[in-house]
Amino acid sequence: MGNAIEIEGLVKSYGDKTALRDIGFAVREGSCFGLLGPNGAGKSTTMKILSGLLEPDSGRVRVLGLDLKREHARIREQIGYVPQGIALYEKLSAADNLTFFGEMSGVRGKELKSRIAEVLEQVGLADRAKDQVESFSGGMKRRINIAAALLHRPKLIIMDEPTVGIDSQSRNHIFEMIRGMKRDGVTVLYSTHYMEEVEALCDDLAIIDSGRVIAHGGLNEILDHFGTSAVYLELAAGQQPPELPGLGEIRPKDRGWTVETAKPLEVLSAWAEACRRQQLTVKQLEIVRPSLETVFLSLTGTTLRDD
Amino acid sequence: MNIGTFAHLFKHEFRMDIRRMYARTWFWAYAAVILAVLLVALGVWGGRSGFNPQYLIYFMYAFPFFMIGVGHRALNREWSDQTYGWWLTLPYSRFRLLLAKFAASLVQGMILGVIAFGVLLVLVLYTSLLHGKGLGEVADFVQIELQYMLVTAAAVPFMTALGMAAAIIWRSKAKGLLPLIWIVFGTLGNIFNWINLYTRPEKSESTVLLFQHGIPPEVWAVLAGMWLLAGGLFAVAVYICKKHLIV
Repeated sequence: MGNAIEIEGLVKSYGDKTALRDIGFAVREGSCFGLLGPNGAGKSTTMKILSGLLEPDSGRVRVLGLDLKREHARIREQIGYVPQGIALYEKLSAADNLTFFGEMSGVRGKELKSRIAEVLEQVGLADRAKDQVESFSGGMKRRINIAAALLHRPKLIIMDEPTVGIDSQSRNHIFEMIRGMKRDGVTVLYSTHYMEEVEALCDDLAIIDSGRVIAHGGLNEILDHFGTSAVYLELAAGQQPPELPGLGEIRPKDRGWTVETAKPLEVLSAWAEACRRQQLTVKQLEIVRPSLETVFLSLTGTTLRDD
Repeated sequence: MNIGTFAHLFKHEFRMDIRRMYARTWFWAYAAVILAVLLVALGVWGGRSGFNPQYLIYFMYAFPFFMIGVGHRALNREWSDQTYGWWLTLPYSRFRLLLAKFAASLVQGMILGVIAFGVLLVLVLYTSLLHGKGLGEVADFVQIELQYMLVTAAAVPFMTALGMAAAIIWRSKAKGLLPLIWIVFGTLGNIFNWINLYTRPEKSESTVLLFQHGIPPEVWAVLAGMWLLAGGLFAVAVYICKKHLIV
C-alpha cells in the first residue's frame, strides 16, 4: 500500500513570521495519522495547505498521488475537510445542509438522497434530519459537520480538532466513525491537542514544533524511541517509599511515587524486595508504559504557548 | 469553465440569499409598513399642487449603494457562518467561487431593482388615478425610470464588485488598503452627477430627469468604463482571495 500524503520541505511564512520551516512526513493509505503540536507549532497551517485553503511558499506536496500545486482541484474532489470551527448554515435543517454540501461536492439527485440518509445514520442523527441546525447541541453540529465531509465518499479525510467542546458521547461516536472509516480504507489525517485521542485512534503520528517535525513514526515506535518506562509504587497511608540507591530518582505522582528508568524490571524487583524487608503495605506496584503526553512534553517542553 | 458546476454554485448562492430574505420577517414587516404609509400619504397629499410624484424616484438613489451591501454580505456570510474554511476548499477555483457570488448578487440586484421600480410605478399610477391627473404624468415617470435604470445598470456591477472586494480585503493581509479604497470611491463615486452638471440647463425645471436633453454619448463611455472598473475590482478580489487571504 502506498502513501496517501507525501510532504517534503514544506515552507510557509506569514510576513516575517515563518510558520513552517521544513516540514516533511508521509501518511500511509488507509491509516489514521495524528498531527500533534503545541499552539502555533504549524499543524493548522499544514492542515490548511493540505486542504487547499492556503498555498505553500515552497516544498513538494503529493496528495493521493497528485501534485498539490498543479492538481489541487482534482485533489479537493477526493478529500473531505472537517474544519476546526463548525461550518454549517444554522437556519437550514440538517438534511438541507447536507443537500447543499453534497451538491457542491458533486453528488446529486437520487444518489445524494441516499447518501444523506446513509451519513445521517452513520452520525446517529437520522431522526433529526428535518430539524434546524441552530437547535442542535455542539456535539450534534460536529457530527453533521463530519457527515457533510463524508457525503462524496472521499479517500482522505482531514479533521482539524474535531472533538473540541463536545460531550463524551459525541466524542465516542466520532471515534467509532473514524474506526469505521479506517475499516473502509479511508485515510484520516487527525489534528488534536488530546494525546489520549491519538493513542486511541492513530497508527502513526508526527509531532510538530516551531514549524518543524520533531518526531515522526508509528505510535509504539515513538513511545519506544522517545519515552522512558517508569515504575509506580503506592503504599498504605503514612508510609514512605524505600530508597533505591543508584536506580533512579523517586518522584511523587498521584497517590504514590514513580521512578523513570530504562531498567524497569530491576527497579520493580528492588522496590518489591525493599518493601518486603521493611514490612511496608504495598497497594500498587507496576511498570508503567510511557504515555504520549510524557513524550510530547519531553519533546516540546512545558513552557506555555499562547498563540 | 464547466457550466454545470457553475450553475450549481450560482444556484446555491442565489438560494442562500433568497432564503435569508424570506426568513427575515422584520424585513417584510418594514416593507409592508412603509408601503402602507406611502399609500396613505400619497392619498392625502398626492393631489396638492407642488407635489411631483417623480420625486419618488429619489428613493432609487440608494439602490446602487444597497448593492455594495449585497456584494459584501455574499462574501461575509462565509465568515459569519464560519463556513469559509469549507467554502474555500470546494473543488473549484477561487475565480469560480467568487464569480458565482458576483453573478448571484447581480441577478438578485436586478430582481430587487425591477421590483422596486415596479412598486414605484404602481404608486405613481395610484396617485395619478386617485387625484385625476391623467396618464401623462405616468408616461413622464416611466421616462425618468428608464434613465435611472441606465444609471443603475452602469453602477450596480461596480458597486457589487466593490462590496465583494471590500469584504475580501477586510479578511486579507491588504486590510490597510480599505480606507484608501473608500476615499477613492467617495471621490469618484458621483461621476454621473458630474456629467450631469455639464448637460443640465442653467435653470432647472421641476423635473428629476437625469439627462434633460437626451442621453449624452459620454454616458455610454462611462457605462462601459464602470463595467471595466467592476471587472478590475473583481479581478483584485480574486487575486487577494487566492494569494493574501488570512485563514
